[in-house]
Amino acid sequence: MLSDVVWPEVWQASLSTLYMVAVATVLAVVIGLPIGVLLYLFSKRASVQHRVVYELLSVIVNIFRSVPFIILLIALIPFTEWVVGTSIGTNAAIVPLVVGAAPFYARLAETALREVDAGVIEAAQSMGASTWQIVYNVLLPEARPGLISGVTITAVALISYSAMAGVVGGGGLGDLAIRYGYERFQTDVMFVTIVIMIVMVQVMQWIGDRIVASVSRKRSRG
Amino acid sequence: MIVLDHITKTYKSRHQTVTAVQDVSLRVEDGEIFGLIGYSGAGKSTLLRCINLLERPTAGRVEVDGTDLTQLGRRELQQARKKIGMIFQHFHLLNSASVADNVAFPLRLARVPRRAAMDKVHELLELVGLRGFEKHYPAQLSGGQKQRVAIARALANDPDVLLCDEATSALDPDTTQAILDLLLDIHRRLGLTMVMVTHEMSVIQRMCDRVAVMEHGKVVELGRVADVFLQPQHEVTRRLLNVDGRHRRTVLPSHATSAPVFEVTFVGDMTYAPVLAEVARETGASFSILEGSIGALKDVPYGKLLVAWQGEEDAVAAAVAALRTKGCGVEERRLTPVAVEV
Ligand SMILES: Nc1ncnc2c1ncn2[C@@H]1O[C@H](COP(=O)(O)OP(=O)(O)OP(=O)(O)O)[C@@H](O)[C@H]1O
Ligand SMILES: [Mg+2]
Repeated sequence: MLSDVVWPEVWQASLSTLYMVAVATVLAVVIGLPIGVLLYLFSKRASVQHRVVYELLSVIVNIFRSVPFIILLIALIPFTEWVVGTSIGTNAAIVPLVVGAAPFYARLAETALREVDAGVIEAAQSMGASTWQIVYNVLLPEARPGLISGVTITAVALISYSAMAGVVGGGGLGDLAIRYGYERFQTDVMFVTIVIMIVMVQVMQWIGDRIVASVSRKRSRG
Repeated sequence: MIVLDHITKTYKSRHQTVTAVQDVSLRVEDGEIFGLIGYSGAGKSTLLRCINLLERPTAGRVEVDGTDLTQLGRRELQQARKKIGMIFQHFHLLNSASVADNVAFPLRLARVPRRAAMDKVHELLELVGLRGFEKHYPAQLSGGQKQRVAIARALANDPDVLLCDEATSALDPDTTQAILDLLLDIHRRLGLTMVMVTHEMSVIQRMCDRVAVMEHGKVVELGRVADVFLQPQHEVTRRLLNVDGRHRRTVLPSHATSAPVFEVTFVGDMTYAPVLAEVARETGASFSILEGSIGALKDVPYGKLLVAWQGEEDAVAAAVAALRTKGCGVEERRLTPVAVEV
């Protein structure tokens, strides 16, 4: 039944998806992590100004997270054009992917940082650590397993976001599935793309879990 | 020297205001081991944390080695904190770092070059008896070993002051003794000033030169450990020492049920002198010891005996006066007699 599948096109689409997901994940983490750190830091401060900044940041993050990705994709077209010079193609699809995923990762990072034992932070303060020294030397290393599983979750979410990239001509597996499976009733292509996506998710999850396991191995083994 | 000058700390939340520390003034001399004791919630930790401004007092001044910490800017305070080590009940080690990296942590903060830092780390691990554990991770250590790592870490910047918040409260009795011995040893070698928060009198007894007893955010009794221990004034102190506690049942011998009973305390060399016998000979009164303990408060020997005096009323009065003259503490005690089976 798979005789009609255009394998070179499937291969090409898989590469596009991987490319979009990889680049978007990296950028989402690079942008989301500092936002997550800021969210964490501002949430810890008692002063009114800090609370206000936190709430503001928090609302902005929530707005981006509550807009359905398909709408974000379209709404961001002018912004995308400004950033990459075009609103069509794989690179153009990466912009909305990043904008959608960075706030998502920021929240995951904030949650991971909150898991760090307050006592350890206090100990660092008692040793005269500055805020940035605490972020760099205490928070990030101590929260590493949580931060890494956040990356996995984000990458997996991006695989599904990227399926909509076809709307702006971004290509990828989702695009392929819609063009062949939906518009031409070629369910076998649909089937193949779904299988590939499932495999991608599984592999990413496996890799992510392995990395988390290797960084937490030493700390948990009694 | 640490000077706490009219320290008050209140916590305000929407619903209520808690005064954790209320107008406490005290000073800790250089090289002294100072104890803070009290029941849970008395404000001991809060007061201790005011010393390195982990808690900023709502009012009052904190002076460490002549510097008013409350006046310092953020950077200067961070600098000052490097000379004030602190250890905690739950150790607070970095789980993601090896033992060596944990101890090196304050050195890294101070930007000490790696080589020099590692030399220092080895020296410190030697001091706390953990040589060879460099590559272990906290999860692989026992509680006592973790506290040793925390002590080594607290000493990394050669602090002048060491703050200990219930440093042994999470440890079993044997490990507690070992850690207290280590702290005493470190104190002897490095001569730093130590402030120890605890709720165990035994820790104070073993370690401290002076002690402050806290209740409801206030210091209710303060003095040399021997004095506070042997002549506790405040009700809280007496409860902590279980002086007239519920668990106390002194059995009176039948011939002494009507005799006046005194608690006689000795401090120093006098503890081992035959004071009671001398007084008995001089005054003609006779005595029997109902209960007692002889031991040491840090390095000072002490004795605390419950003595029933018999004889002429005058003779007993003379004996009490003679004991006082010799420098003993004498305090009359009313005991509820317990039937004795002979
Ligand atoms: N951050 C805080 N916010 C509000 N209240 C606090 C805070 N920290 C301490 N308190 C309150 O201050 C009082 C003193 O607390 P503190 O921790 O100093 O007591 P403690 O003597 O160390 O007791 P423990 O032996 O249980 O450690 C308590 O009533 C406590 O509830
Ligand atoms: Mg406490």
